[in-house]
Amino acid sequence: MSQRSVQGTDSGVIEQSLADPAAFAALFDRHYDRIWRYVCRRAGPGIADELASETFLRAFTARAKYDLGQLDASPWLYGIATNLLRGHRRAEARRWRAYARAAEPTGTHGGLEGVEQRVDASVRAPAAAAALARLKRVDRDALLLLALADLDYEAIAIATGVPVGTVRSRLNRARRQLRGAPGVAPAAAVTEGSD
Amino acid sequence: MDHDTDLELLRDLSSEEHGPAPEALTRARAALLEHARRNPRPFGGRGLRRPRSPLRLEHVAFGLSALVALAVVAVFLSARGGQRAGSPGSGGLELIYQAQPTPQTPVVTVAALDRAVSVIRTRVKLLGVDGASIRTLGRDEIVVRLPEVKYTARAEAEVGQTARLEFYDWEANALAPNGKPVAAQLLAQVPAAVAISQGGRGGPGGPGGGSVSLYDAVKLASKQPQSISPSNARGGSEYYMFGTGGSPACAAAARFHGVPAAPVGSHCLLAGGPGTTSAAGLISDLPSGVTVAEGHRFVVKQGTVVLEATPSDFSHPPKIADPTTQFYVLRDHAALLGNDISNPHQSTDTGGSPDVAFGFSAKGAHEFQSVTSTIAHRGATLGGPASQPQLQHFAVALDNILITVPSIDFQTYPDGVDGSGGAQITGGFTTRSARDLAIELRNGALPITLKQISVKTTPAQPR
Repeated sequence: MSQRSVQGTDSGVIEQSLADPAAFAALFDRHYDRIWRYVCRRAGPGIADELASETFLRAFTARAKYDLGQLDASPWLYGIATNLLRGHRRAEARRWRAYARAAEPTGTHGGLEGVEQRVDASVRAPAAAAALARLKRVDRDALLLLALADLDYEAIAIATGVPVGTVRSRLNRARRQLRGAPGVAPAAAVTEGSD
Repeated sequence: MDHDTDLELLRDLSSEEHGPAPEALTRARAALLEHARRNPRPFGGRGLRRPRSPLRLEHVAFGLSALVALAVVAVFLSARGGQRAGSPGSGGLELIYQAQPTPQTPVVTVAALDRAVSVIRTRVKLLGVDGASIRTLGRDEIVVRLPEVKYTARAEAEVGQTARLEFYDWEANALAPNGKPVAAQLLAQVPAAVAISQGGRGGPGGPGGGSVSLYDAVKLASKQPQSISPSNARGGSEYYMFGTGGSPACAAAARFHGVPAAPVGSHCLLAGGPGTTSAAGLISDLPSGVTVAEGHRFVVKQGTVVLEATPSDFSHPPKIADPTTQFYVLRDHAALLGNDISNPHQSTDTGGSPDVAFGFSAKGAHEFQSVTSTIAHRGATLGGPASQPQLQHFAVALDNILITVPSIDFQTYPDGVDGSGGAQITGGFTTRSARDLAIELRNGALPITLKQISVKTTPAQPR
């Protein structure tokens, strides 16, 4: 066991900020980095600063509506960021296309070990990026909150404001479509399927 | 493609090595503060949404590993007695309990009943009984059948106990070997007090860092005067009996408890412990063949408590009778009890690492702010180098085992941690250890009372 410490929770910070607005900065300090990374991965560095900053301004404005029973504010913040991303669909689509291009095969650096997996991934990644762009918006949001924000089903439900059952079906659909898209399934799985 | 593979693919696809640029971060923070300054009043509130009842949260973690979850609850029971099943022919026991609500668990739900069954199952396992059957009967009863139990009274007394959770101001209550509280000796930097306050390699409350053997702990505790107060987590005295290391009595006790024998020059626990509250109980607890004359009796009076050091692995906590197990002595002035906290659960800290979060009752929130404020003020008074401030701590104990002793950062929380929004314990957790701690807290925070409504001995089962 290493040194442990006790902290207030996010909901404590938010409650405190109702009387003392500057206290909200503690929430920014805790979460800004992760929110920035999330929006950057989805919409690119060109717009990440603006989106991450706006996320906290909106959170601050809406703090009176926060459910203080949720000790961890990250699902709420990711939800706000995800809503903001909807206004930047083109930027996000460009981002996924860029990922698809960047993931194309780039020679044999890294030695022969694992080369098959790399080639496999380099073929599948552009296809996945393309498939992702074709998903329904709500399905893509759920999938990316799971994959990029590391939220669990309950947290995704909070972030997107829908019941957990809906999250589950959105994720199932998103994954099914992603897997079914041409070129996304791993080589081995394709071989198996074609036998 | 399995689920993890497709998530990995998405993560790889969009990997972002760099975080925000420092100047952009500073700008964003300044913009937020400026916005907050200009718009201090919350906008569009439907009023504060209060935390939901802790009750619904009962459903969260019950499905988790019962063995890991409950081992700590049960360990001292096992360790204290370490009894094994009696010899064939000693007869069986049937106990029927009725589950009753507690303030923390006002309704006996199916989940609460199932959890109680798991608790009992582990306790029975630690009693060393094979072939026990534990099942629910109707909506609120639990039937426990033990095929052969030599120590019927012990099984009867221990199987249905309620888990006990306590929070202490660590330095204010922990006693140094000189019998004075650690907190009073930190300004003078008394080495034994500093060792207990700051802990060894494993942090405060762990083995090392000022912990002592059970014998030394009990001897010190037994010298403390009785001190009855409303903040005592336990009433009455606790009885212990020790033998001399290397003696036949110690050898018999080691066999009985299933622990290594205490070497010459040390002492071994012959009988008693935190659950032994009378001299008669102590005598009935002696291993067979060991007489009272071979032991030395100690009584720990109300107001003082002996707690086992934090085990490194909750699923294998050392037995109390093991001569290598380490302990601390504390004044029994608990700041909060299990019914003051709500909804302990594994959570995630801001760096994405696992941690443990929990809420408080209204009274608990007030008490928590008060005790953490005292702790923070003490930390600030003591100061220390900026790189290594003398952080002060609070301790959480479940069934006489310290489960965590976290610090309060007096610079961030100079007036304590406002408990109204709950609190989180963070630092050095794995997902598993955070989950384990959350379950330990939950066991203490959401107990149900088991009222024994029937007991009968049954004839020995043919083998």
